[in-house]
Amino acid sequence: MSEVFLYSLIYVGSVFIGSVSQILLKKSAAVKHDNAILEYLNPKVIIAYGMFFMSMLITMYALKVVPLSLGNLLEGFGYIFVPVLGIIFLKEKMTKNRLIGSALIIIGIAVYAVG
Amino acid sequence: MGIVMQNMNFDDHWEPMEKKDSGKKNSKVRAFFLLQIGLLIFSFGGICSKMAGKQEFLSLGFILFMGLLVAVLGTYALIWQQVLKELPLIVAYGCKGIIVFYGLLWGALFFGEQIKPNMIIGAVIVLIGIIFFVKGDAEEESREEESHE
Repeated sequence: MSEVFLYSLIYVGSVFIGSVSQILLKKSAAVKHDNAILEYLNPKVIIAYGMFFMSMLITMYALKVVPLSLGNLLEGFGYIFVPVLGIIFLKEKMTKNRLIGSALIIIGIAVYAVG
Repeated sequence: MGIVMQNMNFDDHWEPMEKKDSGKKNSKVRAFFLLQIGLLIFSFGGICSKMAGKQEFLSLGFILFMGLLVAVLGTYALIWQQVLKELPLIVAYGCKGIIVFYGLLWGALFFGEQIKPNMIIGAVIVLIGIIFFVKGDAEEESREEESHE
């Protein structure tokens, strides 16, 4: 297994962690809180931003080997992970337009990054 | 019993469906607008981190830009949480694709980065993708309204 491939997998792992953190943020946003401060200072949001921060650190580590252009491309995995996790854990709907939108964003990022 | 009846506000419970739907639509429009502001602010984070990267580690400039980066990310986090209260995560996250476009714009404007044709084509494809997300959301909402009627 090449080093770039291995670090690319680590990068994709960090994108996945970031996507899971988005699910936690949405779960917290869906709950009615007693006051504005509790909308931000509650376990779900704190864990979510902890995960987000961890994902940033892993991304930085992976970028030591992964070229930036490939890294930008790998970020596109978020547009696969978030909808899939959203459907499973938030019961959100994946309409035809959202599916086309996701596909176009992934293609757009690929075209942008690979030049 | 009479006192209880006097204290009840029937308007809250019997709000016309039309009024409720337009209120929901307005809050969604507000959320989309707020999301765009949030994403624009978030895109400034790229400028801050790039500027920080150009400074000597722990120099005044470095600390200044890192501080700005934290402020940008903090503001974005506050906005993002409010947006998620109104919009489905799939739609809000889809709109995040606009960062690609801003990255291209700021890179050229502030750092004189070269824009290649594939970058413009890619950014345009991403923007079309975002239009599909927003359009899809509006269509779904109108379908929901029809099912209410």
